[in-house]
Amino acid sequence: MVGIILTSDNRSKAYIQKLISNKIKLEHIILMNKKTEEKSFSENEIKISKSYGFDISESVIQTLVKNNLAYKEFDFIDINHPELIKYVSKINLDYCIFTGGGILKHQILNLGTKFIHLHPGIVPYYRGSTCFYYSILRNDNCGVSAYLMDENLDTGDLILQLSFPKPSHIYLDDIFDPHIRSEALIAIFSRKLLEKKKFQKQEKSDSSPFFIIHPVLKHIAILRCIK
Amino acid sequence: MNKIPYSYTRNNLLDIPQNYQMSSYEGPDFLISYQFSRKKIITELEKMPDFISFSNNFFSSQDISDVYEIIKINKFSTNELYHSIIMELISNPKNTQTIPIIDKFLKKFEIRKRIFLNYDNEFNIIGDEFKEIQNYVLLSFMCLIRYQTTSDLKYLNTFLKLNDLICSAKKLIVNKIDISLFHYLLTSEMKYVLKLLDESGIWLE
Repeated sequence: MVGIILTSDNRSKAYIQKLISNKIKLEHIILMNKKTEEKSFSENEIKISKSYGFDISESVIQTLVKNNLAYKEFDFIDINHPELIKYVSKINLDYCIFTGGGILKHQILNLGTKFIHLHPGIVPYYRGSTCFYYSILRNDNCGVSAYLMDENLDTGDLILQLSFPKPSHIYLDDIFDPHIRSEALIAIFSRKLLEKKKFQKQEKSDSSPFFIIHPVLKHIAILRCIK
Repeated sequence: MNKIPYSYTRNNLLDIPQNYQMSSYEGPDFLISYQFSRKKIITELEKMPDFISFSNNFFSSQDISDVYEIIKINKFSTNELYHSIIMELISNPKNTQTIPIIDKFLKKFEIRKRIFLNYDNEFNIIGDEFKEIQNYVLLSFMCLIRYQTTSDLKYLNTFLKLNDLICSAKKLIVNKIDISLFHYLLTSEMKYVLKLLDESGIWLE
């Protein structure tokens, strides 16, 4: 049994819309929703997101309702929240896709459910935050690593890794990042990787993680994409 | 003339830390503003009465304990440790022994945006004083040396953030060595940013 924990962000929009369009059905859908105001997007942003296979202007709830999908909603965003832990332990999932970030604590890791995270960087070289900007600056491409989450940052067993050429637009945070992660998610299902269970230990690396990119480097990375 | 002011040094970042999360894209003009802002501070530093060009000799005559002796102490001085690491880095930039300690402080700065005066031998903070500007200048210098040695962008990234903080609190830079060293850090930072722009095929008008 596979489930997904969504939030109301752009990444969740890409995940759920692409799962639906690829006819991938999950047993449980959980939505952590703080009900914050939806950001509005330009016509160009909407057009680019649609070219990638999802509509950034459609909220997660709109997608779920439009497709008659049942979901359990929580009014907080916290993967380690006791109410969420209680619910996940009750539904007894084998795997759960988690769209958010952060580190899972003992309690949720010990439920028996394996949590899948899609990280925008080729680990172990690109661990940490905003990694796709660094890989654009160094390698002119971006990677995604899908792994089973453990107690550390981006160190879990690998399900798959994919590389993508850098985009030719400026919407890296809102559109490109959700796009590449959701493509990796679809690849997990189309290649039946969860059934095959051939997960790989990560290579050992002494390299420390990347931290949030400075705006000067971020601008150079984006200008490098559109030059 | 730049249209958008460089906003990341506007507030004193010692008082109001900047987390840089989801920073917005403002186009190539942003980089022109950044250069303008840095050049202005470089000129201000050059006009200070005590300004002299930086030399590695600033660190050579100091009588400082060994790095590993310092971190064994229950309450060690961050400033003394940083001086010791820098002397080690200058004498042997490829020595890898100090790297885990530098990376530990880089992570501490990235998380809290503060460097405290003292830590214990497990690197826990002692006390609540974090406004010693020289410690930020010294950590910035370590980042520069590491970037020059490795070209690892994570050092350039923290280097930029530390320099933002020091620019934002530039009134605290009064010591002759800090003035000269920070001038060297900013000119080096601009050189490496220009190099990265050049390698990326980006030319600013």
